[in-house]
Amino acid sequence: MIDENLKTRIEPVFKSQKFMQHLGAEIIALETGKVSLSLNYDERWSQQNGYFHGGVVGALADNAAGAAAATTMPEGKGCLTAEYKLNLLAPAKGDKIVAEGRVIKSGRNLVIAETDVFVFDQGKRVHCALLLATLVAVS
Amino acid sequence: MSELIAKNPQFEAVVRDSFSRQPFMGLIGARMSDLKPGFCELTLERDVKLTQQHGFFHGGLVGSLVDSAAGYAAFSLYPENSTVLTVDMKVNFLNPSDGDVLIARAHVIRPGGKLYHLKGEAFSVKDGEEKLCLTGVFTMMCLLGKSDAVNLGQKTGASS
Repeated sequence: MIDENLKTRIEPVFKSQKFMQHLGAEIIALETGKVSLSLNYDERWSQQNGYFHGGVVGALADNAAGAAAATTMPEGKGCLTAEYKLNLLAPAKGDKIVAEGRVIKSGRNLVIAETDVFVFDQGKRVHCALLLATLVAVS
Repeated sequence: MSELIAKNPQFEAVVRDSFSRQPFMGLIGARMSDLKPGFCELTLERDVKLTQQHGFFHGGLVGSLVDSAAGYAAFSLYPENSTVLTVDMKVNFLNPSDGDVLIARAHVIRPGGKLYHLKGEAFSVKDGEEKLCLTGVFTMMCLLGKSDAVNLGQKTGASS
């Protein structure tokens, strides 16, 4: 689901992130407190076994958490990641990864968010990573 | 959450026996209030001795309780003749645990061979209402061929 109102606020920020544009990541779901990002496989994002590189999985997961956190901010406020922890549950082997970020708690100064990452391998969906982050609200 | 299946049909007895042999859980007065394959809930009544300077349950204790719940949620899926140890944990404190009762719940999100990944939460109960006060992720190791009943610390009783 895409909330069109939120999209006008979140998408320009996402589009201004050169790194995400470089990878070709896309917003595929967006509502208050929830954002999903999708990234197609490219050999350039791979590690030695041909899986998505863990760093790329972490970057997408972090961005999904950050975007989800941003949807809970008042107009004019954004978020920066203060820290995250990533658990790689399974090799990210497949054609596409989807990071589903959601806010657990949005406080005055801090937002706690988590992201599940799924890899799609010939139609099969595997839970391959889990991220838990703290973000700081910034004006 | 998909249905998880216990490899050991005696899992409940094995897990509860192990829990009963944890002196620290006994010291704080924690009890195992629920257990299913891949899921464990521990409950703890407030005692002044368990609080920090503001009267909340001490954060380290809250983390400990969820760690223990996560360990036993993982252990419930382990095969016979194995034991459990925490490899890592990361927690975020969301609210002060200012209730009369603390509940820790943990469930396995991905069982593995050696490593099991879990999510855990702690809820503070005040006037019958649960408030989420901690969320975290945990990794547990499955030590195959090691008995859970052996005191690996090699020490019993109080140190002098």
